[in-house]
Amino acid sequence: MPIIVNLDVVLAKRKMKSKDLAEIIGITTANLSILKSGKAKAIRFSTLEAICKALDCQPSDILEYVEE
Amino acid sequence: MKTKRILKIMHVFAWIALIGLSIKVGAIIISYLVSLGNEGAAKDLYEGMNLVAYKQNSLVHYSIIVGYRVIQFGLQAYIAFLVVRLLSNLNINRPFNLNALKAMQTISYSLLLMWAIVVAHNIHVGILESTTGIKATLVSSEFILMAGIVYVFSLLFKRGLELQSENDLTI
Repeated sequence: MPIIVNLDVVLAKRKMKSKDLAEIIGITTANLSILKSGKAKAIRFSTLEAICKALDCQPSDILEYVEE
Repeated sequence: MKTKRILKIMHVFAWIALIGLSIKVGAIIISYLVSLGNEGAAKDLYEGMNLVAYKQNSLVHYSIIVGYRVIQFGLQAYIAFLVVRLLSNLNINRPFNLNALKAMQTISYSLLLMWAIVVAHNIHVGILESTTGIKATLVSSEFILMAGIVYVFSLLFKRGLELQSENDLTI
């Protein structure tokens, strides 16, 4: 998929666990796992906003476009 | 929830239809077997179904016509069974699933097959009427319209399933 989710990288930089992030932003660890693995079809702005707020980052830190 | 209540009632109706149609098929088969030895039984195979004229004319034609009826009612019972199974496995929170879609498509194909059987029956008894003079009792062939309608609904359901899957993968 052309959109890469670099959530693992940002989590590592912030020294935060996936479980903690899921709890902060109010989604299940399963859904966060779907997002991290690149299986997600879409992300809501509200979820993206919550992630950026929790990790103190920009959407471009998390999402990257790579041409196929 | 009103929808749940309606679905429960429909489930009960589907069971009643399944049991009734299964009894009908069984009764016709048993009556047919009895009629092989007793011609009087062909006068009333099930709820006034009178095929004695065909039996007197030809056992083969009589058996084929009974066969058409058995297959037709058997398919109706099968469709009732599919509806019962569909409603039994229905999850109102996630109604769009592959099993329900397959059930709808199978119902559509069964209706199409039923239409084909009815057309074959009507052609057969029509030919017999012209050759032997036995008055043909035609069966209504509206099943093609029902098959088409159910097929269209199954296509819409398929799209619903795609949208639901996409929604499930929207975080």
